[in-house]
Amino acid sequence: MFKRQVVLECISALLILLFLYASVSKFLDLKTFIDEMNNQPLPNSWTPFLVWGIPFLEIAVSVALLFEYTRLLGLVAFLVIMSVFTVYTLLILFHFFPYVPCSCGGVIRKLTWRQHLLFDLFFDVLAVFGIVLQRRKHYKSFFITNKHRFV
Amino acid sequence: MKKIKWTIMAFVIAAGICSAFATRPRPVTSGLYYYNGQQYLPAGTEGINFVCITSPEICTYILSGGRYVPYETMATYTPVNLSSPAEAASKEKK
Repeated sequence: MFKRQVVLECISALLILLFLYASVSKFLDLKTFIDEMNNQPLPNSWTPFLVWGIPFLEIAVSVALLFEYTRLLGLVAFLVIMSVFTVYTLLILFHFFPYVPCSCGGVIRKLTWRQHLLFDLFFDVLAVFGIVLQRRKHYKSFFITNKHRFV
Repeated sequence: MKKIKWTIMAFVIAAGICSAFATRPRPVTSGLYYYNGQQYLPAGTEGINFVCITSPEICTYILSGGRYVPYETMATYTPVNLSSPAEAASKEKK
């Protein structure tokens, strides 16, 4: 139980670190982030929503991951957002869009799209692992607290 | 356990924010330029006038201390209106 809790805390810490770093990087260099969003093969009319929506969503997920009560929600939200990023990266790599833009965002901009995909997949796997551990913990604590009902 | 947890979380939050500050790119004050093989020319606005397409080259430069320094690397400068007029027009319409 203790070991599982430690692993869960480490996974949450890694996910928080990623999203917090990504969101603060975007806010620190908003103009570049707007340019990078315009550079993506998405309609430019989406840019204002994406520019404010993505960092705020990342911060909200980081906060949810901090607390025990909201951790499962945070893990699921993280997985959903990361899966969207992964699918988007796959579409870019398979030349679904008319051109392949630069991969941008903080120090992550140094990665190529292929490396970006591996990076996203690594965090997807971490989030799935975290969800499995968190759910098991929930069920276990539920059965322990309601033991008298099942015996 | 709780004390350890919050110590780790405080460290993670501080690390996330500090690393974002530490890796913040240099502010661009003079605008972006691209190299056309002969000279450096103003690049315009990314996504509107040009896009950076992934490649091993340098997409844009900034003017720093009288020298052109690579700004956006691992990409090729591609004017939007020249790469594919139809695609550029459809992107703008959307």
